[in-house]
Amino acid sequence: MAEIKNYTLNFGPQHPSAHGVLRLVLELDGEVVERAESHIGLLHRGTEKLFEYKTYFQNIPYFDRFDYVSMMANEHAYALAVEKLLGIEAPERAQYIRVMFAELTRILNHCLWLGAHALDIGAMTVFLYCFREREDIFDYYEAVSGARMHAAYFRPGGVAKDLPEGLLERIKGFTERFPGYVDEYETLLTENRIWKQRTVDVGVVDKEAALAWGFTGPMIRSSGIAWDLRKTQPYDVYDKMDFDIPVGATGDSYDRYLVRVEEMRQSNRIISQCIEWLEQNPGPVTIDDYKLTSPPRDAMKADMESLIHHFKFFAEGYPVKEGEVYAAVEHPKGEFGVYIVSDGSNKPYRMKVRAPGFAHLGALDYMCRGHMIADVVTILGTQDIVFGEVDR
Amino acid sequence: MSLIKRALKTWLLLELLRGMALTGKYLFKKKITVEYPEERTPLSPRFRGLHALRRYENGEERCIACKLCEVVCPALAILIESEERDDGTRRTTRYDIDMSKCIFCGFCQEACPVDAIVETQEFEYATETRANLYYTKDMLLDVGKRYESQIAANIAVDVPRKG
Amino acid sequence: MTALYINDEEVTVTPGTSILEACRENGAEVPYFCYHPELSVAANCRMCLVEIEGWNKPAASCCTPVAEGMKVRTQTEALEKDREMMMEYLLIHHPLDCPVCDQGGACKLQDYAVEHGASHGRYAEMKRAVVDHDLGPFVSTCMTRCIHCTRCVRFADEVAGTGDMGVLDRGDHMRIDGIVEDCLSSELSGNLSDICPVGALLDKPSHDVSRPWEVTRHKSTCTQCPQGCDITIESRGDEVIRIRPEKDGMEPWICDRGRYVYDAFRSEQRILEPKVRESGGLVAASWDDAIGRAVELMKGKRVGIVFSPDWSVEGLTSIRLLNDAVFEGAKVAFDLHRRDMRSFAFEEGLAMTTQQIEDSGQVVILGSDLRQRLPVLMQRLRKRINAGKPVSRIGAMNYRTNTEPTKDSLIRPRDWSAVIAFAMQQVSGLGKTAAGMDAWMAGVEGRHEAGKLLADALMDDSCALLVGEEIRSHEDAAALIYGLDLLMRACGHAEAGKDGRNLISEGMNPQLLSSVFGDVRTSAGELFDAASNGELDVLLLIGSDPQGDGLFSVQAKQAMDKVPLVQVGAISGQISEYAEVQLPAAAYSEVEGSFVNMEGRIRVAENPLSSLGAERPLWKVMMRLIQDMGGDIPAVNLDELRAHVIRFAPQMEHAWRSSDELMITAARNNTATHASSTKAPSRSLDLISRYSMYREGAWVRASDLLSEAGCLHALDDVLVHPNTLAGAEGERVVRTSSGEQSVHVGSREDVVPGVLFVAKRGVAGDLSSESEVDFVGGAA
Repeated sequence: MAEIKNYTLNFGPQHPSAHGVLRLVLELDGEVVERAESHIGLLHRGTEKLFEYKTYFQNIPYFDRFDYVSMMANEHAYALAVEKLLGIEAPERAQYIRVMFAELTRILNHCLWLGAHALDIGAMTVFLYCFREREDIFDYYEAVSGARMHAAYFRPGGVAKDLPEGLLERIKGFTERFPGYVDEYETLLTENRIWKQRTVDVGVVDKEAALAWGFTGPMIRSSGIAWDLRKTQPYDVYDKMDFDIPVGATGDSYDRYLVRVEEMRQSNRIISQCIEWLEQNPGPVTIDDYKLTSPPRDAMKADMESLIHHFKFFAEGYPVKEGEVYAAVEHPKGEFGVYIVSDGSNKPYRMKVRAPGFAHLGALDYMCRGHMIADVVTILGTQDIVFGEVDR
Repeated sequence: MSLIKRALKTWLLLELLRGMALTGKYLFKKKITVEYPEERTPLSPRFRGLHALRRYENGEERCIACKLCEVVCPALAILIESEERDDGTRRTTRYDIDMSKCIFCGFCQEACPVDAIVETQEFEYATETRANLYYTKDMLLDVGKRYESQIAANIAVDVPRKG
Repeated sequence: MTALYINDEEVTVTPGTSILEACRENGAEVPYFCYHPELSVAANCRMCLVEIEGWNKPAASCCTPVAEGMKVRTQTEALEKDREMMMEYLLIHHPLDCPVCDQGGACKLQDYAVEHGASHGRYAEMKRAVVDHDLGPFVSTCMTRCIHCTRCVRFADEVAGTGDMGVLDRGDHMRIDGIVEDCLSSELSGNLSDICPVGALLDKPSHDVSRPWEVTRHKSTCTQCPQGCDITIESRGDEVIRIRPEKDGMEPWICDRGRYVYDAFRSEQRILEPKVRESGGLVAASWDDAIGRAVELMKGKRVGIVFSPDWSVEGLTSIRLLNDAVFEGAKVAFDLHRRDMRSFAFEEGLAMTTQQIEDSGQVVILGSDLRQRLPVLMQRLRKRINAGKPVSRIGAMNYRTNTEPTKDSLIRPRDWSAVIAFAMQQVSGLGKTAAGMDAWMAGVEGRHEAGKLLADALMDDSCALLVGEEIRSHEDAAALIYGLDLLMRACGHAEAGKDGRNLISEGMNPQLLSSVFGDVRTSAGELFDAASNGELDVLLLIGSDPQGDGLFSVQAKQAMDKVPLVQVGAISGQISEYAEVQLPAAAYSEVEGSFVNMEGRIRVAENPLSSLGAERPLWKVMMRLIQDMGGDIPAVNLDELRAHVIRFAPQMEHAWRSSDELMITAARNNTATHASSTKAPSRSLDLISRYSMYREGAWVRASDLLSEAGCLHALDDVLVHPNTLAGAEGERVVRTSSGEQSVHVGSREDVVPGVLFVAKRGVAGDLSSESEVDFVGGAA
């Protein structure tokens, strides 16, 4: 009897829907996936090791480059971790700014996800519409930090600069427009029969499996567990925000789509609340301790203490109390956590980043088994993988 | 009832037609696409683009070789050598930025105590070779000369660092 | 021992310790500006305030001695407030200079401002400014930055002994100023930039060049004098930025010579590539070609080797290996100042550590200009004198030491035997004698009263003799040293553990050189004479510059006119014009190797600077020569080479195997008995080759910085007593067999009459070998 061997297919690393540099080795029985083995590390840059050689301040821009689709959300986790280690809290206005931009970032991320995911499955138009909204948000990024993507805007102790004049009005306009845009996406997709055929009952993950695989964020919520760090362990001013957590029913790809679309609407609500507060309450956006943040430029040029602190801040950074700390945020993709071990010097002794995508990618094999090869693209898409954070 | 509704929905391709109507509407709307490079979007005054070294109005270089930008640069893209000039002031003899290393985080301009190194709104500096991305002091001063009015205007309109 | 509580922890310290020192010893951090462990206490910065239980005000911990049961607190809220206010006061008049100040990044003011100060300044009024002064080539000033801690003033008074810094005016007008404005006359002036806690006094040569975070630190040993100080070389890439005393080294200070000689590392005189002589000039060549040329010149020929004692232990041993492998029986010389080659009763090197010398009951300097020759040892003696302990001196001149020796006696060099004989007479009168002493005494006709001073010192329980160049370079050195040996033995200062017989060597590694080259060495003068007489065919000079240094420049010139020269070294020096081949060898900063200083302390340099050109460690050059000359290579790596070193000097093994400090002892020759001689000197005038720290040595002459300092601190080319050459002061031409040279003749009252002190290099050599000295009057 002839020996029958499963066909092995290399999916990526150069594949348009491999979301970067994933190399997936698929073992196929005809068109049915028997096993999916993901090979990661092609985008490994040794960032966690690099952190040990940079001061706490110099590490900020490297966080933009983890999940390079939700830059400020990464920075947010780092800023919170260092603040926790230093025992400080950012001024309220800075917290509102951070929450506003964290939610803008969520929309930014979900827009990319939705556009790219729809494109992967065969819907071209959504991609273009989503990118139209992304451009707006990039403009806000640029206005506030000077960079359209790698902002380096959230700092331990606050944010780099206050909002420029007129920005709040522009964002307000966006929040008014945006629900209509989400309606458009939904018009194109939610009821669409092709979309449903491609996503309903594909990659089902039940509650137990979601917990077992360490899912977080939209992935676990779509499996029916209302777990959201913004509610369960609120940071910054999330406890003052009024918003809902969407939860899925079946845990299939369609649910994950619905959860994320609803999250965009909820983010929009949070942004509106932040704008309302920020318009009323001017104030400082960094803590008033120049030992931990750089002094304002006019003070630095005028008085000795500020100049010394400026010099020391940029030349050596600041020593951080000995200890260990873990801080996590509800990142658009899930729980993004930063674990820092400090030996009391101006550089982290060790820093570990908990990337949600890494845990999700681990479940790829579980989710793909028994599906057709075309569903691999769907499942990978709904996981919302970005290799900057998986490979680190 | 719902059975009839579902059958109708299925057979009349309602959701597809609704989608087509949406895209069709955009067909006749004003286009939002910007035709770069003929058209450009406005840039933020805080925009972090190509670096420039500035001079004072009297032509004197601003940079005093304090090397704070060099030490704060996370990507180690800046290289400075300094000496005491004949008039006793501290000056750079070399100020190089390797644009292929630079991550445009803007820390150098934050660290600069005399506003000498700044990031301009220039972003179209693509070159044919990597070697051309290695900016020397003369090149950076030249960038500063070209964009000085723009740089000064942007610094003026930007709100103070802390609100 | 006194027991007290620092932050509730019980500690015990020696009585009389200050609270600040007790805190430092026990790891409790107390900020301070004016305190310095090596200087007296001024207590004027008020930064070191601590709280003492039962006292109603905080106390300055640097000037408060500990008391039994005292309860000290260093970290309280009230103290933090005090410190914050102190910082605010200090910063009120401080200029906004951090970005242009070299101290930035290594500044105590910055550190404490961040650690203890407020983060916002409140002062918005005018700041005061202070005029700067030129303090010479090594120290740059920006006195507006000064916080008046007076460390520099105390340094100048107590350490340098020059007292050329002071505090002028008071209140708002108070300023630190050089009283001697144009230059700091101390040979330790470079340390000022190290002790200044702020950016007021900075290192001038490295001014505005680097930031502290840019430099890489290499631990090394200075070979500029036999002291062999522990140094840290700070480099950026392969460029040396500055040299500093090592933080935990034996000595807290280093001299300007050792500090600024790095200028020579990159000078034009550095040999960085092999060169061969072609049509009159030296041209660059490949290693193969240059070695080939050297082999061609030396193979099968009678070779004389002259080398410098300052190479690493490994390098020096490789010279011996070269000698053994291919030049069996060649003449070898390394000491350019020693005339008498008979073996000495106690050979070069110290029997004591500098600390033991500082602590011993009596110290007698015999004929040495210690301040020029061993500035750091002289600083130790100065400290000793300031503490009221005696230091006596016998010598031909009242050498400037920046402090007065307790007892001082001027003698002519020809009277040394009479001095020793007088001392012998005195001690034997007190019943102290040694076998051979009577015979030695009997051989000396006169008696010189200065011997009383020596005899008195010898009566103490412990006595350290520092025998200097006046005796070592004496024509009858072996006999004089034997005489001193007899004296020391008679008085019980020669036993192990109490040995006070210290002979200051010419260069580094004296103990090792005795054991490695003891049986083959000869006088440099004889070696050059042999070459002139046709007994040698070629000279191999390894790092030595007999043209510029030493007593034999005339003989060296005659020899090199006669035979070809192969030069191996790091600095070309004045002899390079004779060299047929130049082979580059790595400088002391660029080798992995060991060094032994005059105390016998072994130090191993492990992370050298990277080399600048094609130079290689000396031992590799030597091995290559052995190979190409057809010999068997004795060692292919450092470990094998070290096995050979151990063959000659077994004590070295310990130094490489363990990290314990081990001293090599200086050689003692119990058989070296030399009768005193009464041979009358041939000349009416005695001549002393005077050592100048800014002129002696090829390295120093290659350094522009030190040459500049040498001009500022110039010694008279020729110095005499006003009665010796009446009216000879001023510019003169001296005519010798090697031609005419212009010299500046100076005179001083505190010089013994009848002696010429010659400081100008070359001239000393000329004069020492001339029987007649002809000073031509008139303008030069």
